[in-house]
This record gives sequence, C-alpha cells and structure tokens, in this order.
Amino acid sequence: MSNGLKLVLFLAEILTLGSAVLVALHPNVLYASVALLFAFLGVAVMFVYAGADFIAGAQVIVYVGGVTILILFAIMLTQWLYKLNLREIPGKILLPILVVGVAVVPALYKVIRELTAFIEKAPPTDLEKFSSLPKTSVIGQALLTNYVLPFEAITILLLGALVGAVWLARPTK
Amino acid sequence: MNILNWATGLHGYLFVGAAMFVLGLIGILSRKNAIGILLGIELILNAAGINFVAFSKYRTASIDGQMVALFIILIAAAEAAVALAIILRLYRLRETIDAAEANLMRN
Amino acid sequence: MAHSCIWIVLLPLCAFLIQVFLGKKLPRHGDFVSVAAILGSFALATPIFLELIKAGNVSNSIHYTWMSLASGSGKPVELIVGIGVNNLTAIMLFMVTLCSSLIHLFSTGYMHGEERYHLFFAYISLFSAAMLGLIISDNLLTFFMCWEVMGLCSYLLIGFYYKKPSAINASLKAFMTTRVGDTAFFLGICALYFVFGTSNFDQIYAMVKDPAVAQVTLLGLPALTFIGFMVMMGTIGKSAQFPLQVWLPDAMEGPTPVSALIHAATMVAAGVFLLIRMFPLLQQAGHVLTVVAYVGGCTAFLAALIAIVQTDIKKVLAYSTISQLGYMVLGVGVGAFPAAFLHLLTHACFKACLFLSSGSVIHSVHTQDMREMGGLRSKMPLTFLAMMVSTLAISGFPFFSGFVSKDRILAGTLAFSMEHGHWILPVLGFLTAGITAFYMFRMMYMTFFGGARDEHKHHHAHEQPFVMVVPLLILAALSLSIVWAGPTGIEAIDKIMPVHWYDVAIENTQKSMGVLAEHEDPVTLEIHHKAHSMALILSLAVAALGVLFSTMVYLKKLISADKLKAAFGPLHKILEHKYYFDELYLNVLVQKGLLTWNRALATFDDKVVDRIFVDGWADIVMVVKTIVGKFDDIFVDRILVDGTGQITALSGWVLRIVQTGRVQQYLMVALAVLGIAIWLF
Repeated sequence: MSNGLKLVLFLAEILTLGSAVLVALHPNVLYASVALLFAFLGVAVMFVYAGADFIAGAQVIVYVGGVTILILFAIMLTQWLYKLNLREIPGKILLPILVVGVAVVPALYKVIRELTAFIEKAPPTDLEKFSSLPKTSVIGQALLTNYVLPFEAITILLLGALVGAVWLARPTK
Repeated sequence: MNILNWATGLHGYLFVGAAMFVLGLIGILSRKNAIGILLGIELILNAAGINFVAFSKYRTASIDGQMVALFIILIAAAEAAVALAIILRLYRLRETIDAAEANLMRN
Repeated sequence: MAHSCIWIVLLPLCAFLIQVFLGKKLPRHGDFVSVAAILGSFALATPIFLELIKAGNVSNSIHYTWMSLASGSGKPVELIVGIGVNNLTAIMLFMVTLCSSLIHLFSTGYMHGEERYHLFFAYISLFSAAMLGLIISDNLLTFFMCWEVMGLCSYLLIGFYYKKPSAINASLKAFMTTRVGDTAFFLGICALYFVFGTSNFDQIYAMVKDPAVAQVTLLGLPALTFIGFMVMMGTIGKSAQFPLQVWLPDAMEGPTPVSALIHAATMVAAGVFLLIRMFPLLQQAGHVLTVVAYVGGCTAFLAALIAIVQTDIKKVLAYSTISQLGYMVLGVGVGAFPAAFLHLLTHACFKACLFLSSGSVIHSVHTQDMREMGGLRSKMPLTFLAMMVSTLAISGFPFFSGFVSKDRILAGTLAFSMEHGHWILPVLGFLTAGITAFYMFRMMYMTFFGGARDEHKHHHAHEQPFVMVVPLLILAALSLSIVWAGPTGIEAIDKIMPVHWYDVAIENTQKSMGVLAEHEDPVTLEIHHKAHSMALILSLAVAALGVLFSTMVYLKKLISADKLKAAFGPLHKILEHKYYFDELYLNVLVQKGLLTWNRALATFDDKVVDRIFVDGWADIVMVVKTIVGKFDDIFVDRILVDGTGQITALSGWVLRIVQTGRVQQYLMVALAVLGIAIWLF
C-alpha cells in the first residue's frame, strides 16, 4: 500500500474521530447529527481499506442515506428542538467523562493491547489477497448458505420494525 | 511515517473503534435529548462494526466478521426507525423529548 | 360403509348445534339446516338399503374402546362402543330417515310462524340424531345413551307449548313414566355386563347359548331371566306398553309432527327394536318371552278398547299406536319377530301418515275434537285420500301394508298357540284387529263424512300447502302392500323390488343371530302353513266385521251411538277413565305410596341426618374454628401477613432511592461498577 493511499485512510480516521467528538459534545443536536453523517462517511472509507467494499456501500446507503437523513427529518419535524441548547448544566458533561475515563478507557486499553499483541504474533498469510477480493458475490453466497437463518431473522425483524414504526407514528385521534 | 503505518494498521482501526465507543458512551450519558441519545447509540454500533471489519481482515482474513457488521448495520437501521417513531410519539403525547421527563412509571 | 354411517348420525347432530346457537339469526329461523341435514342422512342411508335389497345381506362395523375401568378381579372392564350396520339396521336407517325427512318437510309448513320455531327444529334434529345413533349402535351402552337422549327430546317436544300447563304436565308425566322403564333397563345392562362382560350385540348372540352363562344367577333368578325381564321393562316404558302406557296419550299435547315422528313412527318403536335385537337372549331367558307376549296382547286389546270412546282425533291415534305397538310386542313374544319388525316398518309409515293427516286437519279446522269436524272430504281431498289409504292399511285390508304385516303377526300368534297353548293370545289379537277397524273407520266417518257439525269451522277448512300434502301422499304410497309384500306378478315392479327382499334380509339376520327360522323346522313349518291360511281368513273377517259395524253406527246411523253408550254404561265409564290407571298411579302410588315414603325420608333427613350429622358436625367445626381463628389472627395475620407487607414496604422504600426511572443514571451506575471491578481486579 502506497503512502498516498495510507494518508487518505489516515485523514478519514481523523475525520471520523473529529466528527465523533462533535456528535458526542456539540450542544446543538442538529449540528451533532450532521457531524454524525461525516463520521459515518469516514467509517465507510475505513471499511473500504479493510477490504469490506460491500459493507462500505451498505454503510453509505443505510447510514448516510437513510438513518442520518431520518434523524434530520425527525429534528426538522419537531422544529423548535434545534434551537434549544439541551445540555444546559455544564457540570453534567464532566461526570460522564470522569466515569467513562476511569471505568471504560483503561479496560479498552488493556483489551486492545493484549489483542493486538496476540494477533500480530500470527497474522493471516493471504492478507493482501483478501483485501483485493471483491466481496459482493462472496457475501451474497454466504447470505444464502451459512447465514441464511440470521438473514431470515433480520428480514422478519425489519418487517416488524417497519410495521411497528408506522403504527407508533400514526396520527392520534 | 511510523505514525502513518501505525494508524493504518490494526491499531488504527481498534483505536478509532474504541474512541468512537467512548464518545458514544459520553454522548448517551450527557444528553437529555432523546435524539441525542440515539446519536450516541449509533456511534457505538458503528464502533462495533469497525471492530468486526478490522478483525475480519487482520485476524481471520475471512468474511465472517463482515457478515456480522452487515447485520449490525441492518439492526441499527431498524432500531433507528423504531426509536424515532417512539420519539415522535413521545413528543406528541408529552410535548417534550427529554428522556428524563418520560417517567410515568416512576413511583 | 360404517364410516359413512357415522355421518348419518352426525349430520342431524351438527344441525342441532347450529340451530341451538345460531337458529334465531338465520333466515327462516334456520329450518333449512335441519331439513338439509336429515335429507343428507337419508341420502347416505339409501345406498346401504339398496345394497341390502340387491345383495340380501349387509354387515359392517367399527368399534373402539371408550374407557377401561378397573375391576375387583384385576381384569379391567372395557367399555367398547361402536357402530354396526346389519340388515335390521339398514332397513331401520332407511325407514327412519325417510319418515323423519318427510316429517321435517311437513313441519316447515305446520309449525310456520310458531314461537321458538328454530328450537323446534333443533329438538327434532337432536331427536333424529339420537334415533339414528340408537339404530346404528352395535352395543347396549350407546344404545342406552341414545335411548335417554330420545327421552329428553320427547320431554322437550311434548312440553314445546310451554305456556300450556297441560303440556308441561304431559311432558313431566312422559319423562317420569318412561324413567321407570329406563331404570330397569339400565339395571339390565349392568347385569348384562356382569354376566357377559360386554354389551356388544354380536358377542351376546354368540354367548347366550353357552351353558355356563345359563348357570349364573342374580338375586335368586337365573341371570338371563333377570336381564330379559329388565330389557322387557325398558320396552314397556319406551313403547308405552301395559302397565306404563299412561304417558303416550298425554304426549299428544306436543305439536302434531312430533306426535307423528316420536310418538308413533320412531321412538316408541325403539322399544320393539330393542326386543328384536335382544331376541336371542330373550329366547334363552326362561318364560320372559311368554310374559312379553301377554304384555303385548293385553296392551293391544285394552288400548284398542279405549280408542273407541275417544273424541279427540289425536288421542284416537295415540291409543291406536299403543295398540299397534302391543301387536309388535306380541309378535316378538310369540317368536315371530320378523313379523313384528315388518309391522314396525309398515306401522311407521301408515301411522306417520295418519298423524300428519290429522295434523293437516287440525291445522285446517283449528280443533282436535272430532265432534266439531265432519264433511271435510270435499274440502281436503288430498288429505282425505292419504288418510283413507293409511286407515285401510292399519285396519288390515288386502292390498295395503298393514294387511301384510298384521296377518303375519296373527299367523305367528296362532301358530304359537297351536304349539304351546295360551289360546288367549290369538283371541286378543283377532279381537283387536276387529276393534281397530271399527274405531279407525269411526274416526274417518266422524272427520270426513256426513255433514258439517260446526258450520263455522267447516267453512274455514281448506287444503294445506304442498309442503304438507306431498309428505302425506308419499307416506300413503308407502302404505300400499306392494312395497312390502312378495312378488306382485307385475314384471316391471318385480324387477325394481326383488321378490321377498324382506324375507331374504330377515333370514340372514336370523342366521347371524343364531335363531332358527320357522321354515327350517318341518314340524313348525306345517303348523305355520295351517296357521297362515286360517289367520288370513279370520283377520279379513274380523276387519270386515269391524268396518261394517262402524259403518252402521257412524255413517248410516242404523244403530245409535248414544244407545250403545247407554247399553255399555259401566264399561264405557271404565274406558273413558282409561281403566283408572291415571287415578291409580296418581292417587294411590304417588300420593299414598311415594309421598308417604317421601315424608318418612324427609323426617329421617330432618331429624337424624340434619340434627345429628349436620348440626353435630357444626359444633365440632365451631370449636376447631375458634382455635384456628386465634392461630390465624395472631400468628398468620400479625407476623406472616403484616410482616411480609412491612418488609416489602421497607425494601420498596430503599429501592426507590435508586429507581429514578432515568436510563442514563442506570447506565452510569453500571459503568461505575465496571470501573470499580477493573480497578479491584
């Protein structure tokens, strides 16, 4: 992988992290959700570099094109919302940061360090070949063979979510 | 160039994933707005997806992890749809989407 | 075949359920459901009957174990129920579904506009189901169940006009009286199980001749005699035989189609059907058959005498039904059960026709009193035609069905007496034949001939709609002898109805029952030949005499009926009071006997059971109650119940502090715990 390509991935990671910070901390929920859109885009680029072209496509279509737009719609529909600064107490942000910093970050750090050390001892041999292989047909076959049961379950779940969402959002009398 | 190599390998993916997870947690914990909480949840789900895709490449070099990432995306979509429907309903009923106000079952 | 058979029963049963629950909401109150169901049963029964005519023998059965009861001896008593088709069954199925269908059709006209119209059809559907179920039962257990359901339907339908007190009383009377017979019958079935270990007819037929069975005794009687006697009691109750005949005339309070279906054509004949099915057992049961013959003979004669003095058209028919049933019982009693069965079939047709015709007349003139009728012949020609044909049939005129069957019974009785004595039986039989002709023609003359006695009612009389007349005509056609007799000589008819189909079928039945047919024994054959020709001449003579006498009195008025009445004063009075049976039962048996016994029991119940057992028990309970109450109050209530509540309230109060209802706070706590865990370990 050339350094230029690596740089693109690095920039995408920066974009992702920066956007994620905005999502988490921006007081205005409208800006936060726009930032979420960019975070999703950055993740999609990262997926491409990890040899997951199909997942990247799905990420763009479902998250960027679907979920984020849906959230934006919801905010727009309840128009008054984005004018509100919903994190009115400054002290409220500190407690979560403290708790997460003390409780979660060390655990994650420990896990990541041990995992990477374990994996780097015996990396898979055909890494480059796997990365360059187009995944669409492979995933398609996997969906209808090994993963047919989760696939069917997901379809039912989606149907249920669809019906449920419509029912929940129906006009009240 | 050392940092570039580090960031574009397994470490970079795991770092971004972990950071997104932490930021998502902070978002969930700090926001009162239900939509804000939803944003945090989306971040966490995506962080999980990044991890799966990364391990799919660097640990096994097979598509199993990618399949899980795909299912995560789909479940997240379903969850977002239902969550937003609930939020709209809550707004219509209570004139607010402050998660702390939805406390009818308290006491 | 047996499987399609079950639908013959289930169709009316389904109709019953539909009618009971939905009948009121259906168009026309759902009468078409019942009619369609019974027509469906008829359609299913016909092929079986046709096969019988063609092949001369049908036989098929299915059964399964209903339940298995533990018994003292260790071997469980298995109650096996099932259905079976044989020659008797096939013929009965055809006859009953046919009569029932026609009567259903007639009812749609007769009951039109009545209150509770849908329930009427529900009841007769249930009745049809029970009757058909009884016929196809191959064991006495389901036979008895259907028998009881029929009793229930009879009760419901007699009391159908529930606003009339007389109808209520009649329905109660019918139910209670038949109960006497039913109880005995049930005891008989129990004894049967005790002796044979089964109630399946075919198995009983196979076992009755076993000498080991004859050895068994019950209550000091040979078991077979006991069973036979109890079965006979069942018949006496159901078929309204002497001395339990009192309920059938009162049962005429029900709607006329019911009288035709239940109290003439089918249900009351079930008693005779029972005797026929149990015939092999009765043959082995000592002198029970002779008793049966005497019961039948007496019933036939005494009921016929009462019929002479009745003025209510339906009562005449009711007594004639009892009388004809007596004939059948007599026939079984003298061993001529093929003749009795044939009479059962012919009687069903012509009696149903008579009743429906009378219903047609009643519907037209709105009275049941024959003294208010008269001269209806021109007004209702078709009804008159049907009723005349069936009257000729019941009177035993040649070329009509009653002649064929009655002649056989009389011949059988005569042959029996030539062999064994008991000369009173044929005398009663022939006398009854004459009296039957007499009172039937009396009824016809009073109803259809002469001038109008009540101008107003006569003026309003009119022929009934087709739906009522057509069943009459069909039944009248079935009362012609060609349907029932042997070869007619007309080739076209003989081809459709093979000669002697009935004799062939019955002969096969006798074989399967293990009963000797009369012509297989050369001695009895000769007697029978002699008896036949004699009975033929005699029965024709007495019938003609009866008609002649009737004509003289009621049509030509050569002899005044009033003078006759005066001449037979005391006898007339006895007949009008029906031999004082009602008075005997009500005043002596019920008032003096049962009520006194009842009072004694009540006193015992009051003084002994209530005072000592019930009240004494109460005292004990009071003491225990006080102790238990204290325990309950102090230990259970104070400590356990209140304590539990207080603990719950306390823990609720504690838990409420952290139960804020805020998801974010919960998550925060969870993470904090996670952090502590990480730093600790």
